[in-house]
Amino acid sequence: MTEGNESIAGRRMFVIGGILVLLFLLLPQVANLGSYILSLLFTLFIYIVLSHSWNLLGGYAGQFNIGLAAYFGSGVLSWSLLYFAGVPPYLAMLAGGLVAVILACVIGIPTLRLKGIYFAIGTLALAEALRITVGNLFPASVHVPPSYWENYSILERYYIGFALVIITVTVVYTIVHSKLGLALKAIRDDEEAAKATGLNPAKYKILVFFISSFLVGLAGGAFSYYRGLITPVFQFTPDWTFGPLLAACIGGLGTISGPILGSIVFVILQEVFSQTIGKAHFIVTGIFFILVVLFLPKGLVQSGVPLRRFLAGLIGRE
Amino acid sequence: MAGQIIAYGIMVGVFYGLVAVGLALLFGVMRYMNIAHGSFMMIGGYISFFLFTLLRVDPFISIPVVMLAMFLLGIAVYKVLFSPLGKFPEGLRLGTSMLITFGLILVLDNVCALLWTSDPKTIATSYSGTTIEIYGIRLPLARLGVLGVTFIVIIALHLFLNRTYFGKSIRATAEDWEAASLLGINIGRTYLVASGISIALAGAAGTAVALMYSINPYGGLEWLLTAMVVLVFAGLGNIKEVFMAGLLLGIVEQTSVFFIGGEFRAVVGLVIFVLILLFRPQGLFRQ
Repeated sequence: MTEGNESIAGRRMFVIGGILVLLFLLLPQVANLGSYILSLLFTLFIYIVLSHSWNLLGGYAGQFNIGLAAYFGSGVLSWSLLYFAGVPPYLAMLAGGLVAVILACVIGIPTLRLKGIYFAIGTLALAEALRITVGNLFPASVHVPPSYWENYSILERYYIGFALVIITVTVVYTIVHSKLGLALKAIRDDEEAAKATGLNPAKYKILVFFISSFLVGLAGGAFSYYRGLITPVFQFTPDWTFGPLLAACIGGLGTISGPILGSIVFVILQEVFSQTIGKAHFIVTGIFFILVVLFLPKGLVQSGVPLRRFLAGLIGRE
Repeated sequence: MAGQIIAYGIMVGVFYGLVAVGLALLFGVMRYMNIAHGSFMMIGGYISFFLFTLLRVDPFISIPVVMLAMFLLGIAVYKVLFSPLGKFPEGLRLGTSMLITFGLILVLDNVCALLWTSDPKTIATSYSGTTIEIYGIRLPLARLGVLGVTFIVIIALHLFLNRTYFGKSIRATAEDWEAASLLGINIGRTYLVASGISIALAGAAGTAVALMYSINPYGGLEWLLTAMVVLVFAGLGNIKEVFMAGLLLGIVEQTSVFFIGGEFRAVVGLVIFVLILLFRPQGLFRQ
């Protein structure tokens, strides 16, 4: 794609993005959506934040975090521990993000200095260790004080979720279109070559891992505010890594619109399947995911161009 | 007491070697990371569990049957999932292998849960609770049996890798697949066999889990964590040092369990993992 094309596509994206933002801001004010739709949209927002944070590191920097649940779960857990201890909810969300960054230090600093899959193994190791330990230390279900349900407003959660989406997409967009973004792509494509030009790959990777974990921790806090933590272990299960990863891969790694589109597809699939085939829906989504990774490695967003070319070839025009 | 801890650590540790060796083989030869290794262990455990409960076959006798079944499963996995990976550019293969085996976990675990519920299952033989005492050290019979099986597997694997054509071609491919291919080794077939053996070894380890611990559909990731810590301990890509690394991990872990309790077993593994990466990222045994 040439420079001109990219700026036109970028401008078009801004316009579409602006319209969408306005739509989602005004929609609940104009129409009475009901708590089911608002909850579904909130879930969608959380998935967009998680898959975009994953994409920032996995898609743009080529570092696969396969223990995303650890950062999400720690956001959820620290939010509820702090909130039930009397800390204001928004402050507790920030704290959730910070706890996630501390965890990111533990894994990121030793593993991201090394090349290869140490980072992936490390994130998985942390996620599993946390899941098992939280399962051992915390009771299966936690009592949520009745004060939590007083003045519960789903609309407030909706706007928090939406604000997080805007923050995340803006952060990712800014990073990708800055020098840092260029450095990340250079590291992803050839770490040795990037080093030779004077970049310090570890520094960039660790910085971006912190940003990504912070966003995931914030999302964990918001989710806890929405749901009220009842079973602590549940948020640490690999499902919470799998969903966002799936959404990012379906949509298209290393793109802005990919994780958003992927999250929409994923949330709809999950909603439809869990109501029709129950537990078997994990099997179907798992197979779907494997097929996407093997046969559509660029995701739905970037498959448009080759598909169009293929169709044009069929009718004999190019 | 120290003798008891060390004896237990050795029994657990050698078994950890068995848990990790299949994963190490696959990674060493193909450079693919099979995140679903633990889930395959659970499937192996289920096969031996049903052979025991339905047909009364002793788990030690069913190990060869389980390994054969898992070998065939491993070949199917290679045909369906791993061989299409060969079309990917080399830099993307490792990451993609992790993504698809991560998807595979979701499929395998939930198929197991659907078929056999998520209740944990254990093979309870007549000798399950039996221990023998030597110099005041109590040794559970089942664990001693697993120790014996692991030694047989180590020796068989060693002989296979060093004495047979297939084994030598696996080692050559692990060393440098392009050179091996130039020398006339059929890389595709080597990968096929290596992936079959890797999954078969997971099956053997799973049988032992069903006998000594318990299996459940979602128990795979916990064992994968152990296998991965052993792998990093041995140095990634090293097949030979895996048993040594497992042994060390077992002893360290059992000692820590004695002092701080079993709830933090996974945390101890994680701390060891981080320390190794900080100070000896090439593994404990490499110069």
